[in-house]
Amino acid sequence: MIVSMKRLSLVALKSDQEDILNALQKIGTVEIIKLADGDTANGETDAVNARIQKLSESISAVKPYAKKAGFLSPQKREMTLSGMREYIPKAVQTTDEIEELLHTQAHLLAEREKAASLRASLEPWVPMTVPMDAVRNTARVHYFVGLLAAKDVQRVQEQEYLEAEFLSDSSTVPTILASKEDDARIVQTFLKSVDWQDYVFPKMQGTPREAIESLERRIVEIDEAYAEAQSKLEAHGETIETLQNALDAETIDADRLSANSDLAYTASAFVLEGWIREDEVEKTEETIRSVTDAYSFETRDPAEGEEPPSVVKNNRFVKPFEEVQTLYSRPAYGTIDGTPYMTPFYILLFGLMLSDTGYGILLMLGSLLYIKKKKPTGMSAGISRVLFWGGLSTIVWGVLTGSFFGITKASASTIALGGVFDQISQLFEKLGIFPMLLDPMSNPMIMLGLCFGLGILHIVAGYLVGAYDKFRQGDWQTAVFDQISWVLITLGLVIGFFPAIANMAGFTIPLPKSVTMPALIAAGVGALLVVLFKGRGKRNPLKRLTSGLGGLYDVTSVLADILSYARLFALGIATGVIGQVFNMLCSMLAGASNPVMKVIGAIGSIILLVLLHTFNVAINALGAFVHCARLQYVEFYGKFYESGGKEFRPLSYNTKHVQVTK
Amino acid sequence: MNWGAIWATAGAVIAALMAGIGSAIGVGITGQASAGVVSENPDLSGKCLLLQLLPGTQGIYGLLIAIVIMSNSGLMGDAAKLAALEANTALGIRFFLASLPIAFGGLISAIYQGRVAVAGINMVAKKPTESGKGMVMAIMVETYAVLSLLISFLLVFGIM
Repeated sequence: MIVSMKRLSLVALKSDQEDILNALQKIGTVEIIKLADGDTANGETDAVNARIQKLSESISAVKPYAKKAGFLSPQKREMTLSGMREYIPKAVQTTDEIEELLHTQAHLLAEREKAASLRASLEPWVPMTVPMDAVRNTARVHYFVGLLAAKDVQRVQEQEYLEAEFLSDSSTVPTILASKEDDARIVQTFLKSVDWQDYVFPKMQGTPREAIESLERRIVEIDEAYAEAQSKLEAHGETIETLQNALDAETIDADRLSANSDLAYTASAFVLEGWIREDEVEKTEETIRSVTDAYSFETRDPAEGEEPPSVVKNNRFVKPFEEVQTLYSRPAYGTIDGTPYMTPFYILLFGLMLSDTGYGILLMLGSLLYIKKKKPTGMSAGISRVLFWGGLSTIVWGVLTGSFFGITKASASTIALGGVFDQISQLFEKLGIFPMLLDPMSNPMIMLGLCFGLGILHIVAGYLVGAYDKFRQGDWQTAVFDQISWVLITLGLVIGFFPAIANMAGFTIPLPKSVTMPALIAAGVGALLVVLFKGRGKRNPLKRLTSGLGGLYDVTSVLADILSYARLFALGIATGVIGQVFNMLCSMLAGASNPVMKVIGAIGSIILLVLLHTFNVAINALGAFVHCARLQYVEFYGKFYESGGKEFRPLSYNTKHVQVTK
Repeated sequence: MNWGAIWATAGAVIAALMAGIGSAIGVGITGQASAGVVSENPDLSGKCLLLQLLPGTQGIYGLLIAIVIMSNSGLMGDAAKLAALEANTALGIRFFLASLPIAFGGLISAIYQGRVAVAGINMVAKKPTESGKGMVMAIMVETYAVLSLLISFLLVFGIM
């Protein structure tokens, strides 16, 4: 059900502000509404945010080197807030060190890049035997250094005012030219007419070969320095918990500091406006009373035009399924929470889509282990419990339809299996317990009918929930004309035409006229209600009738909704047949006649079986989860649910890595 | 020529092939999008992986229909069924036709589901809490692959 919300106005002294906000954040019951468009930037907030930024950067820098948390270790550490704060000084120091190391590394990388490109540009000049600084213009001689295309070597040689030295005979020739200072101009003009590219020797000692050697030594040095910084960085991997604790502590402080800017102020007091759950009003006031007695604490119902956040409250069994609903949308405030109605259908339909006892056991034990060891919070806590119940339902459906890790009673005849699989399936046959209801592979039409039947039940339940909600709100017209009428139409048509539908599927199931006739009459009454009252808001009788007849057209969408439940059958079959195929592949592998091959095959097939069945259960559980969610969102919620509720975001301990304890 | 067996084989081939191609394309494009998002924010890899897996199911459906065609038509070694198939070309053609819904429904729905999932992954990059909605959007497309699978399956089981 949706929790009713109260609008809170709290006025207290500025001198108590920090203590009050601390206390409110600790109990996490109040969502603060922004009152002033005040200056959000102030020195303290900026400093905290800067530290948070640095901590996050440092954490992602050292994360690759941190010890990986065990697969089944708890999601969050438990710690007190003051315990977390103790890590801040150490963390600040560590982030400075990490930042320094990252800076050094970036610097070294840039230098290495530069040295490497210089080294590459010097490579062609290795044949040069004189030091580079010897090639220097004097009062009488002008040198030209550059790369000359091989095709122009001939032309350069022909110029009598030039002394040329060609250092190689590759396609671009490193060339040193010398001329008289007086001829320098002519040479420059001439060089423009050939394929010439000036080269400037780096300011280094010795010949190019020596320069390259010194650059290489420098690169080695850089690499060593980089590796040293890297190993220091990797050593910081073990500080990640310190950083994470500090990050969470700083985040808590930042949230509270930013709340300060949402308040309104007078000279000596502050005003806090916010949303609070009706059932937490008392607790909150007590908390404030424990801080100070100089306060005014007033709550009122939400006014017209105000949109309170939407919070739902359910018992422990239904609560996990709130996450499934939240994946779609929160209910609009003041409407109806679909979770308690959706939960039984979710469990029922999820199991039908997997319908394999073996997979159900895997799923149930897996999620149980996850919940116990990982202690998930938030959404993963909900989803893992949903999967637990889904697993239980899968076990039941597996027994009803007779499938255990893809082994069915029929699998011996459908797909040739070998050895142990045959024995298991024969055992099922002998005991006669498997399947208890029906085997979907040998009776596909009955199974499909069952799925549609469940679908009709689901859809009708959706209309009834809608009708209940409208009655509750006092809107009996909507309840009767838009909801009950469709229950009559859907059920009436299905029961009325049941023998005909069964006949299409190849079964003769006669129903007495005393059943079908009243059903058809009920459908007629429902249709009449829709035709006459669908357009009840319209004055013009013609428009009202058109609207009513148009409303009747919705029968196609109900039909489409029912057909959509065919996915229950298809996904169930898919899981089962894929499981059978995997069993078949592995029994082929283990079925070799050579005894040595048989042993190898047996070992290989056991490993394969584990891997393949894990894959199958994982991908089909994902499929079942989302397809089942879709059936809730579209086919079920479509009948009554009003989405669009706002999330409730109280000022609280919003942490990533640490579970704050009292 | 045993046209019956050839048609049935063609049916198994086209079911696995077309749906497999569709899923390969769908999973491929979502994988590229995921890699882009994960390079920015490695914490989102789990959510992206779930979205990437969604267009992969069509390939499995195609494989499933291929296997049931093979086992029901006797291509997997059931001599009596195979003899019946070889004696009757029309039987083989029926197997072939039964494979078409999942072959083409799977091919095209996997590609479009992949595109929706890519959009979903981009949405996850901006709003990580909304990944559920992205999954539901992608699953809307899969409905039609499931319906194709259903018809192919019922047709194959209706033959023998």
